[in-house]
Amino acid sequence: MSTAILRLENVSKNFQNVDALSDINVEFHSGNVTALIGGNGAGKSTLIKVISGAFQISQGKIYYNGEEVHFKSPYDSKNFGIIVCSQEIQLFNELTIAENIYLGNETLEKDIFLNLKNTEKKVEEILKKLNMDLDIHRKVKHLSLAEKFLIQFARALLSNPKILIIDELIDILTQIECNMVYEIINELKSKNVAVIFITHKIEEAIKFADNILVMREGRIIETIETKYADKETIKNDILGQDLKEHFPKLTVKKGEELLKITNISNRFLNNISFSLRRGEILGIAGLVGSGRTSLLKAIVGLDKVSNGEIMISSEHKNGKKAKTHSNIGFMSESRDIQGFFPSLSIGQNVTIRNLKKISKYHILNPKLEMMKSKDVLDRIGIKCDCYNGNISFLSGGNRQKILVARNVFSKCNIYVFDEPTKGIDIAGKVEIYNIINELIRRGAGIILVSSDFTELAGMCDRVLVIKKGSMSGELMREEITQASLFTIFSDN
Amino acid sequence: MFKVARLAKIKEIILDRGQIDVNTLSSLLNVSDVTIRSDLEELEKDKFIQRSHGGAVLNEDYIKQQDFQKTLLGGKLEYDKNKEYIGQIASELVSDGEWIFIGQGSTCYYVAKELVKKETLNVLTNNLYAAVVLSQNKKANIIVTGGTLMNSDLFLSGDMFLKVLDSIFISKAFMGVTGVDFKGGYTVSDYLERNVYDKIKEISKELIIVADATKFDKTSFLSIGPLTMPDIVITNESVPKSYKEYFFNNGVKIFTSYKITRSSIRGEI
Repeated sequence: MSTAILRLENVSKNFQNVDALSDINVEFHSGNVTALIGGNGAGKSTLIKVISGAFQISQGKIYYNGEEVHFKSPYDSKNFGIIVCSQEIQLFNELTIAENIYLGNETLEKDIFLNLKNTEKKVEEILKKLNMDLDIHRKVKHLSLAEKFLIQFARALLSNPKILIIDELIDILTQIECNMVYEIINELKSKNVAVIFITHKIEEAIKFADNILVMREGRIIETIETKYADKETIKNDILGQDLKEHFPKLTVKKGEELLKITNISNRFLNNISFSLRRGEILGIAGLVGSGRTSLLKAIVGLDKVSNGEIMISSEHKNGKKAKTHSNIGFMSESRDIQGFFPSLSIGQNVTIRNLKKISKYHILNPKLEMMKSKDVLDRIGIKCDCYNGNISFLSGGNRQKILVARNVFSKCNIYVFDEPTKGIDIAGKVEIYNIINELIRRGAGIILVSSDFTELAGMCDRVLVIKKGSMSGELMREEITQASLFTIFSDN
Repeated sequence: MFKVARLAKIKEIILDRGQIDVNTLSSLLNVSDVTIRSDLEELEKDKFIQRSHGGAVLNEDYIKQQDFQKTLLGGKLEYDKNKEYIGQIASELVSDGEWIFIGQGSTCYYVAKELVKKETLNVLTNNLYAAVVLSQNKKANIIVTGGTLMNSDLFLSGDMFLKVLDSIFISKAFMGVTGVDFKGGYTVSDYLERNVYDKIKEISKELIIVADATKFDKTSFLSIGPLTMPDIVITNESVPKSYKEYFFNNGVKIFTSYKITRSSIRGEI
């Protein structure tokens, strides 16, 4: 075989002592399609970010056409023709479709001036290939999520990739759209481009790839040539050992209803209903783009609901509808960006949700603030200097605990966790699970969104399955396993 | 000084000296003789003292009786908040109608203390403290194993204990240990205790170790098994992180206590 266009040798990557990738050895060839498959948290996205230079590797070497390279940013790797079409939408809402697509790949005249006519012609060609009949002068913000994703794909195609990496196709795409993407992948293959795509769906991997890499726990478990691939074997490789029984799951008596959601819809959601009781852990499973985060946002009041009702039961009793969701504590997936006030002390971060509790005649009492925040932090097992302590020195687990402490401080009874243990080490995870146990034991209700199926299987009493913005199923405690959840999402 | 505090102080003084006269008391506590007399009258009503002319004498028989009752009710065990939390979690794990075993040790006593609140309860125990506490639940089925009484901790062991347990099966067994350590595993202080463990391991479906944080990183005389031996470990939040990680990775469920109160969740009183 010819030299690999890209080769990784003993590559490892760790974050705060958590190994995200260990000992990766792999090569990619031009004109070859590789499917990267694995459960959530297996390290697929990290691998891609390492290749593109978004993450710096902790150990190992990367070779491009046989020469060692160090990509410091995605811009570096782009100069080598490595283009990533990511799962998160990275578009400029206020620019037009055409501008978003040609950005960075403009056809220039005399190396300076934009040749708008030629550039736009290219954009239109690509959109035609994607069967997208859009006015290229419209602003991107008016597009649907699926269209935005395809615009991003179009941008990747326009950059003439030598290695095209496609992060998982978002859930919202229709089968026709997915097939179209795969057709284009085939076409690129014939043009000698190396294509790497991430998927959850074993069948798609077998159908469209030449090689399949199975990842688990940050390692490449298996490299299979598609002609020898067997669906069951791959599935077992992906799943590994079922760890459901490792989780400290406490089942407590369910109490009264806390939250009732009836037929809510908005631009991401379609007719979703469910309820939550005291003492219950309700899981929500969905792929990226399925609307799981949108659902959380709607519940906690960060996003509007066009139809349907969200009823917080305690307030419903008085015949009043809740205006602010003072009973709900939301712990976002991006803790650092959406959770904290980095310039405030740890203590202030705890009390910020309920300043009334620490003020007298509308004046804050710093002594009281310190006393009360110290008390609640102690209850949740954090020993720190409340007043001078800075959040940025704390581990991920302790940061998550501080968010819980904040909500306990303001007496929430519904705790909404989005990816509660992402980026947290195992001991930290155990602590978070036990805090969740403690919350339900004391009468709270939990909504838990996680892309880690083992975590859902380990902790939840009930799991709702969200696909393309709608509720497509519900699993009870005994039915929830890593395998059953994986099957739901890997089969069409 | 409030009356309650004063009475406590007087009790303390009398316990210390055995007898005392009114004058000394009034000058010690800086109150009038009249007040002291009425206080002593009250203490006599409680049978704590016998009044004599111009003073009071400790009622020793009464104290002995009190002491005995305290022993029975577990009053000899020091109150320990951390063990109480463990007991609370343990009681959540017990479902209606199942037969459980409660082993020796003070942590197990706290498990029993929480279980009293349960509606239906089927308990086999060799821990006399636990048995007495559980007797407060009138509806509960309590069976105490036979055996040789270990005076120090009021639990039963020995040949008779082992014989009783033949052909008995239990769904969950709660057991205390003296030490938990990576090297020594779970350790206890003598052979008789280990015999109890060996038998219980055999007859129970799920083995649950209850051990507060002070037991960790400590070893005692005899090892009863490696860290992976039980199905569940219940302990406190402050145990070293390395244990939390080890238990999770090796499939032993680890529950730890936190101090979130019921009143900090809205709508729960």
